[in-house]
Amino acid sequence: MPAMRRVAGDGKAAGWAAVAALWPAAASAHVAQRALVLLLPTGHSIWGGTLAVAATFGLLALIPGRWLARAASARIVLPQGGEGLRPVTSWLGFLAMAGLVAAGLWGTRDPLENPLPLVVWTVFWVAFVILHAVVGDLWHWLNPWSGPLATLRRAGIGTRPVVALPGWMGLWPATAGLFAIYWFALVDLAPDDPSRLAIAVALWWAVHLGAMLVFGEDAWRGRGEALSVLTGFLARLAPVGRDAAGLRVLTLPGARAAEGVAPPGTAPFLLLALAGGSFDGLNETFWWLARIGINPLDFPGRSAVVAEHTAGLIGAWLTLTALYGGCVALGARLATGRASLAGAGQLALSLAPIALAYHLAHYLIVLLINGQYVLVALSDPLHRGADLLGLGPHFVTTSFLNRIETVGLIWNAQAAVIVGGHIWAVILAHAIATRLWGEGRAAALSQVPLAGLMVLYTLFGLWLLATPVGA
Amino acid sequence: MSKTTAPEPRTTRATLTRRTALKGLAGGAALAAAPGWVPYIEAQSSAPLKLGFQVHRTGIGAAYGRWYDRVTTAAAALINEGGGIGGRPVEIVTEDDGTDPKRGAEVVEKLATQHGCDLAFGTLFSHVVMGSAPRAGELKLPYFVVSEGHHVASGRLNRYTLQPGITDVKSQVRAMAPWVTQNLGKKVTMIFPDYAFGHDHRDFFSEAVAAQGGEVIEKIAIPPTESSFTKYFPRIPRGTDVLYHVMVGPGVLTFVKELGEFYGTGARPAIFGFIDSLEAVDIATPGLDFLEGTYFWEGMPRYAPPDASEHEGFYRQRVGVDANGASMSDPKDIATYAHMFGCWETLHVIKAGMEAAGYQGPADRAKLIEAVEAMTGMPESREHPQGDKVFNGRTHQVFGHQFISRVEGARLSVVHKTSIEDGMYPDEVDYTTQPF
Repeated sequence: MPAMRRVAGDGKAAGWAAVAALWPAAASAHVAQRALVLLLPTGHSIWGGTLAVAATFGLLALIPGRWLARAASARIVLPQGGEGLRPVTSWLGFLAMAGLVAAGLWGTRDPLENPLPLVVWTVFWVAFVILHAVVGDLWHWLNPWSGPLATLRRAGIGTRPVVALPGWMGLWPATAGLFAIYWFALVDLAPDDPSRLAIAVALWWAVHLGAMLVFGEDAWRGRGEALSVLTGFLARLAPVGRDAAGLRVLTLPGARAAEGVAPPGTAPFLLLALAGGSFDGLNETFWWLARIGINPLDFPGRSAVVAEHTAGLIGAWLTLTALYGGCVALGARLATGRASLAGAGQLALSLAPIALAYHLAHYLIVLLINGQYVLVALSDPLHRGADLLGLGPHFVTTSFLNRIETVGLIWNAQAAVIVGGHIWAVILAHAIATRLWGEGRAAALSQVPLAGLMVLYTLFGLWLLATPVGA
Repeated sequence: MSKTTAPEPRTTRATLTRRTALKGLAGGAALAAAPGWVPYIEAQSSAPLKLGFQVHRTGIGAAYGRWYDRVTTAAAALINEGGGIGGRPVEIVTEDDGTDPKRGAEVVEKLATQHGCDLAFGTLFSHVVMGSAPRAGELKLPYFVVSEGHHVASGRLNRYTLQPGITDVKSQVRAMAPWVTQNLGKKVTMIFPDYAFGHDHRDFFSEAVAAQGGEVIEKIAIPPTESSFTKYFPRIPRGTDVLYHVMVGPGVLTFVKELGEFYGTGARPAIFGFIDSLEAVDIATPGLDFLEGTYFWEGMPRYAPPDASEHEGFYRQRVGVDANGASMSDPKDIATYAHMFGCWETLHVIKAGMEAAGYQGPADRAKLIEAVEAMTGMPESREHPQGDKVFNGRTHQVFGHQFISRVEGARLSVVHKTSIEDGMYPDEVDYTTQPF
């Protein structure tokens, strides 16, 4: 995560940087926290959590698939309508964005005081995105395009697409956009810099506005704009939302996730969401730093690892894709006797809870620290020394990262989120596989490879939380 | 006028923001403009002096950056309440360098050219200083670092880079040797991470111990990637009087815990370390009980000593730190107390330097450097709450007292304050011979 983190190059240069270095890596809040995590008995939780995911799969194999299907189809139809308000809510979203961009360009240069980086990286990228899995598709209402486009259409502009977005493109435009977001957050030198971020946000808005005028709002928001696609997948996990028939319904959480068809490119998109979230954690570990020849106690800064972290992000995606593809193909072979990737898109819908879990677990600490800066900014929105929320002086604290009791509490919460996400995914995968291959021994067997991958990924996720970090 | 000069209102956040600090100065500037207020305010601009604050807001330095920012804000507010610098208010322009050397150089340039800052200050991590200082030199921008690295005094930087607010590591390590050898023993075993940071300690301390008639009898280098340390402890020779450790990183608490398990309740050598290992960490953390009775270097004592000066208390109160070195708003939020005073003292050196130079604007930058180079003694005062200091204008490095504290009842109690001379060493450079 930005708000929150070089190759040794020639030994001489790095050596000198370190000769002068007094300031060891212990300086990082994360490292202080990790030092305490290393004192915690995390081993039991890691193996216990991993076994819980495995046991869930075992248990599911004993439950008839139709039970799950029945639970997933249970729904209450909610009041429909309200769509007419969308242009208004979207205009509010646009005005908020415009105000934040202005603050980024002309407000304070401090990324922990300027509202733009705080809102983009903490409120939006962490809290708002996660909220979709709880309350439904907020971005549908608050995105900064629908309102302005409705107004343009009223003026006769953009009433119909100039060209149709080719079907073969699937979700690839959105996948490219998601890669750009992860690259900016994980690799760019200064993603928190208010003016740099203001330009990035304004560009993002303008490029996608243009694309929506060319390809149509629905087509581009459905397949081209990464944030719409990502929040759309997460919103399908929420208990409230529209089902495959377009009705607003209340269901069990996740019941809608596996419904309907998965557009082409679903698997690469969700695998990137998961790989990005995973690499943004892996890239801080001693293990990774050793791979790229960095002394973990002497992290030289982002500028020294641009190529390595770009390669790492792509590598994580390719590795995960290969593992996933292999497991799906093997599963199909076990079910039908023929290896096939036909179910890969549909089964990928089960990855959404894991991506959500990594997002929440990894950014929980960011949320706890930068969330305080958000409150301070809200308390003094014009940066004039007001204290509207009565927070008092020196409100921001990180003491919860320096005390073993709170570090233990946070660690257990993160671990529970990771395990919970995987259990949720195993249940979803089971429901999807049953639909694809029916019930019976062969169908149950078909799920073993993917379930095995999820069990191993649980182990990896919990290891990420417990292993020493240095960047 | 009375509002701007009364320094007591520390109860609202409003008093602590930079903007307010600046606003309060409207009255302060008027006061300063009154005849006879200060001698150096002849016909000059009343526009704010822009001090560029290069801070580690993100990246691995963020935990320190938070406290450096807090101290800087408090010091700037105090300076403004007192009439600013040369009668002009001070505006702190913050730029985050992400704790990255390349970004550091960019930020220095932004401060100089985009924001029109008069100077830049506050850089902490040494690799960022090394990446940024050359750009400051090219831009002829006075650059006041607060990193305690030996890079300034070693001669590797330039005429525009100074470190007048905090002592350097070479001085700190050397200053420990007399007391350690005279009170804890002459046979020392060192445990250090096996890279340049650890090697610095090894080399500086070995040399200083030898000069005191002591000897480093074993040097145990630990690979930086190590996370378990028990296997190294049998290498500690039996005849060791003092174990000197400078472990850092996420393994440091494990190191202490395993060392405690290794010795158990039996006899052990005296143990001495640098607080850098545990800066901002609560000594009372379970598992660190073994630290009881061990010694630490501190740049400034975290726990207010009974004989602390009124200036020390004043500084603590203005920064919002209690007598235990924690935030007044959260007693568990431990400050980076051993180091952060450097920002406070640096800002006051900047003020004194600008006033002595009659600083008017960027054309006077060289005069400012010369004025600081001309400084020598800095008496203990509100401006220098850590203690009196001696500035070496040739090496651009300040020298001061160091503290040795003993862990007693899970608190640090000062047992010795070194003399300034204990930390002095021969000059390695004379920056005053370099042209501007």
